[in-house]
Amino acid sequence: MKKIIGIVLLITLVIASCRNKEQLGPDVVGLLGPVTIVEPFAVSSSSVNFSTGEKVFFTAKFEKDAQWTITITETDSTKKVITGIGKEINAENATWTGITDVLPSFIAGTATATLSFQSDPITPSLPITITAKRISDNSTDVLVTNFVSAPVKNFGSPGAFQPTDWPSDFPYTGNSDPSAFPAGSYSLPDGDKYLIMGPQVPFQGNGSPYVDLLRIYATGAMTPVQYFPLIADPTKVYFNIMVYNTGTPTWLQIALFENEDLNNPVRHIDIKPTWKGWKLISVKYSDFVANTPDAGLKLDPQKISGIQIVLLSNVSTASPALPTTQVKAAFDHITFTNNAPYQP
Amino acid sequence: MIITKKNIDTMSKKFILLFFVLVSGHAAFAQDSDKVKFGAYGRALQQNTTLGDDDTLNADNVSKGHVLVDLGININPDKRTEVQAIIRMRSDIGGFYTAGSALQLRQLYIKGLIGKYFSYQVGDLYLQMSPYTFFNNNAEGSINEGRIFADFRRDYTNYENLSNRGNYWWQQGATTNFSLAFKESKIDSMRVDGFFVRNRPENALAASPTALFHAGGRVTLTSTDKMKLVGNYVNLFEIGKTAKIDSVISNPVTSLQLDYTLWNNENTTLRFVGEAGYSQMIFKGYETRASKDGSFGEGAVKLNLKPANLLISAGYSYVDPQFYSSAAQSKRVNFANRPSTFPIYGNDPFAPNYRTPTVFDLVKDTAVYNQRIVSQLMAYDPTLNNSQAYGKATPNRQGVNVDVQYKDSAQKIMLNLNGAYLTEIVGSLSSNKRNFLVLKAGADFHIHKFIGWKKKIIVTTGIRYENTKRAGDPVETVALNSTLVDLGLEVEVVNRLDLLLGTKFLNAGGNEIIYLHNKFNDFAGFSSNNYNINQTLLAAGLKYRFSANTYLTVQDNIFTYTDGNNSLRNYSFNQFQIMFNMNF
Repeated sequence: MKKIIGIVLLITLVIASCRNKEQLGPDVVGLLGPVTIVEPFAVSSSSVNFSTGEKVFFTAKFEKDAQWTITITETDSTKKVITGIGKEINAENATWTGITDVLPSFIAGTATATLSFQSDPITPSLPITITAKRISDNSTDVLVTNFVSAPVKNFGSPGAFQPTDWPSDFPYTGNSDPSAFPAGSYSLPDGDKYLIMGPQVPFQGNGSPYVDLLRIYATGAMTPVQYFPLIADPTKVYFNIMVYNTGTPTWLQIALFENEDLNNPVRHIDIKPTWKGWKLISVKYSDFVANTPDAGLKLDPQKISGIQIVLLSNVSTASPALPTTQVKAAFDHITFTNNAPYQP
Repeated sequence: MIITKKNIDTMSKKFILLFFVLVSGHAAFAQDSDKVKFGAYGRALQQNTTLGDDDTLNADNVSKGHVLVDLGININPDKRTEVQAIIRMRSDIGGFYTAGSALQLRQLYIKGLIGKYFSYQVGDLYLQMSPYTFFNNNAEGSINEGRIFADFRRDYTNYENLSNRGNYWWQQGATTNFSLAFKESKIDSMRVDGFFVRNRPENALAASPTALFHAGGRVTLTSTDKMKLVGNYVNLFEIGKTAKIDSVISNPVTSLQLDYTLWNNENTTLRFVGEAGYSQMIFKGYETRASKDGSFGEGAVKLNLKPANLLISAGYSYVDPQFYSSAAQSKRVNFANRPSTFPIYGNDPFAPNYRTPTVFDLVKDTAVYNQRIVSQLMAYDPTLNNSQAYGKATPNRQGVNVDVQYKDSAQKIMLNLNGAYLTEIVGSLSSNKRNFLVLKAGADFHIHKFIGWKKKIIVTTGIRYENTKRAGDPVETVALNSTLVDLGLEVEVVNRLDLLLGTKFLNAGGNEIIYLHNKFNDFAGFSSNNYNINQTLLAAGLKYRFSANTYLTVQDNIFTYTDGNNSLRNYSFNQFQIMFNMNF
């Protein structure tokens, strides 16, 4: 038996002596310190047509591992940031397909790419000519409407707002006043059309915050009901909408119709904007709040048959200011996406 | 009173809960026959949680509750076969007219004997091997916690997570074993265990998840009472064809365990226990990925001084930086999950604060728990356990540990002390290595035995202190201290009625630079964090024991989280709960 103990101890000692001396991961001191550039920052093509699926990638090499950031800008706010850690920037870690992190989208024109590090050095910027903007990826995106071209599926809506309103300069809903939105009111986040709501006081005045409403269904006629072509995983389906907040006390409620009931939404989410200007809102289907306990147990994005956008006033219903405070907002590029939020 | 729709609607939730409780209590019966037996677990739970005034993103008060019965049906069609099904009937309180009600098959297995020697089980089963091969490590945030927390963790959190059997993993598949006895041989007996299970996919609804399987076995050789030698083998592997892919990962682990009694007499027992082994993380079909190979070894001497009721052990352990063992390193708590109670808070809906699992959630919330065995090292919270976030099998650690257990003959005091000093084997994101000092102490005082009172007065105490240090350049230095304190009091005030008090306190301060892993356990970035955190959980309640396994408890919990580095992240909430729990 002593032999067995001896063998086990010997194995343990052998294992302990076979140490892997290699450090795990890059050195944090190098990542956060000054960088020596071995091969300068460059772009694969100075001109790109994103509408055809073209891409560009960046290259550079460093002496040691570095934490690097490429910032691509076009207008004051449009910005795409690519970050990484390593000795090399290449097509594998720094390819750009024309998407933006901050609205509006990159459009035809000249963008500028800049490479930066946690500390030195500062590198010269690179100009990139965009000959045409990126369009949605049909393999993952299910466009409801971008207010320019017809949606991928037929749609209908009750009331004054009809499918034939698209494309139009500034489509509006039943309770809104288009004359209060002259052309060029807001920048264009995606194409040259968007939807407006307001500027109106709450429609019913006496205690209700309701201002206006838009409904879009996956079918042109009410029957037979059709569904948006989405995957089944409720945690991987996203609802996306670009919202322009004007600074009025806005409360936006987005609701989903499911199955054959096109009058009673089954889940919703409330958004009370705190920003100004355009912003892309992406909400996971499973994060919508069920309107009934039953809906909470039946998460099925493949049964989404319509959407409803309600503009409300965020002024307290107990406030005397409610009936007199105007609310307005604009919307664009309403889309569902499978697996990931929409990339503008 | 005639119950109509009108007066049901006007009844308070608490009254409805009481109604359910009473009905459940009186409905508890079992009807057995020789071939069919019934058992059941039942629970009624109502929680009302109120968030502090600072938050405007949530409703001020969230109320949720349910009533459920897990009906166990045990069928013995013959003497060698047993079929067990657990059928769950659940109704959410507030979901009237069957909304929110569900009837589910919770567990199902068949087990029996083939011939005289082979036993088998098919369906749902629980598996555990050694801490380096197949082991569901305990959750963080507990160090000899009080009864008020331990009851809820056992009967709700762990029960719902199917992790209420110690360090076993709940799995689905098949297992078999047989034993042989030898005469006139150095080996008295041999037992062989084997299993083949289908691992739970990330999301069963996701399109074409790769099928993940676990297979393995164990051979145990026993020689009189002196020696036990165990050989373990486990392998987690993907089958690419199930998802139409050619590149797959497999993770075989082999180990040898020895338990040898060096000395055993009336007063003293001296044992040597140890385990050593080897792992591979194989990337088949990946062109540029070499396999990751790692080894481990541990050995300890355990001295039992019987007259003094003292058990002392001292040992050394070494776990290679590239040692990967999926079923031993997967965490019981998924720190990437958000708690279900107020997952976001603050005032800005588009820049909210996200809550991470706290000592409150680790006791109360099944949403932060994990049932999956994964090959990727999971996220962890360094303020709760930085030294061995993946249990004993945490890679890149070596060091010594000492453990002392004492229990006096009258069981008035039970004491457990543990100290460990560990270091990294290679530096992580630095050429310098971290070192870890961990001190743990837990003690139970049965006060009623000191004063000769017939009813129970039990005080439970526990403290865990951890210090992490790394020297070097200012940007790479690490200094993190954390202290977790658990206190509990259990007083039987009148027959079967207990007063329960408990508190948990976590303080963490300093900084840590966390190495982030991708799915191949390669470097995927790092996270540099500064901590100045206090978490305080206070609980008080009453528990009435109808029988050993049936009780009703009413309790209130107050939780406070403060971040000294960012006061906007501070929050607090109060939770009132009633739970009726029965097992028959």
